[in-house]
Amino acid sequence: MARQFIRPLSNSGIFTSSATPNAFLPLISVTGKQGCLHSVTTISATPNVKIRVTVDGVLTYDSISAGASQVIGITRIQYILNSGATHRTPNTPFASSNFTTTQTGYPFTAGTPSLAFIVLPIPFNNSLLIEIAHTGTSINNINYEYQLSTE
Amino acid sequence: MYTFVEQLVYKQDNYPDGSSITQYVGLFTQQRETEEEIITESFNLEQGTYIEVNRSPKGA
Repeated sequence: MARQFIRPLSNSGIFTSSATPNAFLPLISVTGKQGCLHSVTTISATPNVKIRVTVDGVLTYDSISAGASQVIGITRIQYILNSGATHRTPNTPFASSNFTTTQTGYPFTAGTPSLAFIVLPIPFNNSLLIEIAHTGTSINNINYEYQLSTE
Repeated sequence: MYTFVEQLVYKQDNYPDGSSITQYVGLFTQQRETEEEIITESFNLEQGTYIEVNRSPKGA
């Protein structure tokens, strides 16, 4: 019998830390479960933000924002054009200057600025780890959002 | 001698099958004795186990 990922798990908020620059800290960690990652994005006024996504122990996404107010992460194409009456207006985080980050596919592990587009959710069989870091030297606020589902 | 420390707080849900989900909850700052040992603590609440990690001196 096929497993069903019926447990949605989404969260958004501000990741605040004065931790060592470039030191990755976990945002969410899932172990021992199957599931699907639908999206994870971050944006910060300052400083630059880094995201690392590890699926079943394999690094599959590694990026850093190019500058202030740059969206990076992984998102489904459907999430970008789903606001407004006509569903043709980009969601606010992806509009105007916030959406100037280089776009890429998935996986992407170059560690350079890029927002990865996916059409289908990313499956994981046993573990998912999303980590973020920043390049600043004082306390920093990083806006984050993620959506996933687990068995 | 006191200093501020920051605590990244995580919510950890442990399931009977051995699986777990650990989510970042937020950051809290506290004034503590500078000489206090940096440790990891956990405490149980109704919704799961909350873990304080990465406690470190934030500033003099």
